[in-house]
Amino acid sequence: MTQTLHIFRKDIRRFRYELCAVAALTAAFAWSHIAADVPGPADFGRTVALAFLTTFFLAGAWWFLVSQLIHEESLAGDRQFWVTRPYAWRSLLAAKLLFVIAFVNGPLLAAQMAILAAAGYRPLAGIPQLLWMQFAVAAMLLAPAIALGTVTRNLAQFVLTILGGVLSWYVVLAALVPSQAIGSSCVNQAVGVPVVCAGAALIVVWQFSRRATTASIRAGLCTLLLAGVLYYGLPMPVRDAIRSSVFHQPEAKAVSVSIPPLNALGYGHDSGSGRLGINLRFTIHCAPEGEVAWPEMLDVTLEAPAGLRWASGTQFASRSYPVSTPDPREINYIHTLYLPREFYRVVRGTAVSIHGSMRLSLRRQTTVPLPHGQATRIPGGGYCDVSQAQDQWTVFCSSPFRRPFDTSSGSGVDVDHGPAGFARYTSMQLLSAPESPFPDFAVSPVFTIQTVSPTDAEISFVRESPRAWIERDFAASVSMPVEH
Amino acid sequence: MSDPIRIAGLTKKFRRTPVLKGIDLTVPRESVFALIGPNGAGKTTTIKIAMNILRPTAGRAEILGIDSRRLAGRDFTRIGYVSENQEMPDWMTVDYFLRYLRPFYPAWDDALAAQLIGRFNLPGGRKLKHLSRGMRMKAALASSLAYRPEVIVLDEPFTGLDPLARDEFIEGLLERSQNTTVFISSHDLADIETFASHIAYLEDGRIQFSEELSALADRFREIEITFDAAPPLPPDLPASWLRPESSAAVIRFTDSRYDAARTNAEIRARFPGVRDISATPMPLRSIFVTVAKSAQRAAA
Repeated sequence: MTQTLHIFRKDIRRFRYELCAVAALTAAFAWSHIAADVPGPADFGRTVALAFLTTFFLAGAWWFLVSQLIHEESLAGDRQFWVTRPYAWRSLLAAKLLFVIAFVNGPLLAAQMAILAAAGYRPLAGIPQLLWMQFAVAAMLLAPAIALGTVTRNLAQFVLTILGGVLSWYVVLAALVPSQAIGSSCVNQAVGVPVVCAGAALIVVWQFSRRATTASIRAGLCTLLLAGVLYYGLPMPVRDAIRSSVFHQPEAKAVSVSIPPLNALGYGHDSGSGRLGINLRFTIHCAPEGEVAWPEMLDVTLEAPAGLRWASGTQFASRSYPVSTPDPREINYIHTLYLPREFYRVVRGTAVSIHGSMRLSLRRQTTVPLPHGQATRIPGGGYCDVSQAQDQWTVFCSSPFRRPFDTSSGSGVDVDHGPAGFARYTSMQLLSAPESPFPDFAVSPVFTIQTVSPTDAEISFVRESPRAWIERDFAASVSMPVEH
Repeated sequence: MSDPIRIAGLTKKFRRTPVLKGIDLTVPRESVFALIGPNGAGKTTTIKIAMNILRPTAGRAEILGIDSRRLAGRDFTRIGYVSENQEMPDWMTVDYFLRYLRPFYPAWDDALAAQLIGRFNLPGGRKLKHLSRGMRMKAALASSLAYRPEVIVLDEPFTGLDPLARDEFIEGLLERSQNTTVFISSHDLADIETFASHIAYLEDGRIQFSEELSALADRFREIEITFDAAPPLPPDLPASWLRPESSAAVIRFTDSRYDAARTNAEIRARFPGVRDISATPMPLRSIFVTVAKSAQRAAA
């Protein structure tokens, strides 16, 4: 402990100017977020951009500070004076971690509490979430920086490795990962991020205890590879199994999926890549009261009488066309299948057998109307403020630890708004569909979104909490449409 | 008391390039042991392995009875290390550097540290990065002597030092290193000769010889044989007769196993017409050059 504090004090003296700069950036970060978390500013976009910039520069300053801190007693190389001095590696590592906690996490926690308090939330009530955010920042931002610092000798190597790593990552993504697989879910993150954190921790401990730089670099590359495979290539059955085990709901048994027998397939359109898009309508029955069933993934197989067969493989389900039916417990979804043109030419106008399976999420819906001219509490502890600005309504939503909503959608009649295009809705829905039980990953604890609504729109906030992840089979015989 | 440094079968490869090819070395207690050799012979690699800065490919090095691969933390309270290419905390002043190191060493002697600063004329308030090379080496030496280590290891400490700085460095080292074993690598033979008690010659990753300096000086002689007319050099000269050459009436060589009676008898047996034999003691530099050139010739 004595040696830890001795090294810690030396590092404070060594980095006193850098610490002042980080403290100033932390203050700027807090100030910019406090300014952006107030409803109704005319230049909301500018304040948000400023908040983003201060966050970006603060994160950059942390990486710089961490790299300098580790390089002060560099672990890579064979010329450092300290390796032949009586340093205990545990004391050295403890001193570095203490420094990071004291001068990165500590000021950040204070800034986060100030941001929460300024936005009208009670910081002490959010201590567990704040601690989780500290852990997330440490695990996802700081641990990789510390690990990289331990295998590089100086700032130039550190920066070049980051640039090279980012470039390589995107090249590999572009070359190997299909575009439909790019898209994160909390399950992907839940398996990919811990691997990165564990790998970083392993490298840090290994380097401090053994200074085996080559082996550590290899371990780092293996970690990134494994994390990438788990993040982007996690097999869907595994992902579904994880989701099903997390979101278990026995009463979801009644839910079924079918394809209406008549006019099930809409006319196709050319996708421009040798494939023809065919609209397939699904009906989902018997979602439990107060819940909605969202199609997430599906597999479809078409079988023609002549023995011709085509399988889609697992696809993300289209979720953009929900259509109401007279039965309130039924809802239709349209999914576009892209068939090979050769297959289509053979089967068009004929009856084909269609079967497959659909994976659905059942989500409990909570709807909160947002009256004009006032602020309304929303699920999750935040609020939405609807205020008039000139000929439209500004909707400002704020929420602690989570984005207030994920998407906004409207329905109604379109009118010409001149250069702004067509936009006139009779209703507007702000949809929040969080999947993870943990706070969203961010540096600031308060999330704000501002959007605009036409004056006559009824605005509502809808929270969909995931309750179950289920799979249903379907089978039908349908007539293939004729291309026109 | 066992020897403080023992090296056995030490081998080191960088990728596929062998640098050390199984060296054996023993450094006796309280000796000043010089490891000499040409550039690239493997001196620094040997020392870095002994200090656990590098790991051996095979074989082992022990320092104060500890396997070098396990050398860590508290073990370094008994060992000093100064290297010409060591990266120092340049932002520290000399005073702060010594003050910072003090708590790491239970045996740190403040009075001795102050003496060393005075002895080396070190400017206490100046940052290490603003010191000359010689001053930096002296600061490193002062920081390695102030806790009275049992072993002090110096890797090419004289490189780039002017003669005055070199003298001050050596004097400071010798004054303060009683009861200490000094293991030093250098190719500055003239200086080594003045204070080393033992010497090992490393060439191409192999130890060519390792012995007391006095014994080495005793067994190397430059022999000059005078004839009325020198005979041609026979092809079967002893292997210990290095770099033989013949001119009009003289044959010269270096005898690496000189013994007055035996050498004279052998010369007279091989060259019956000898008129005169002279045997001249050799400075270390000449021995080094002779051995190095002989090795090069043998390798060619």
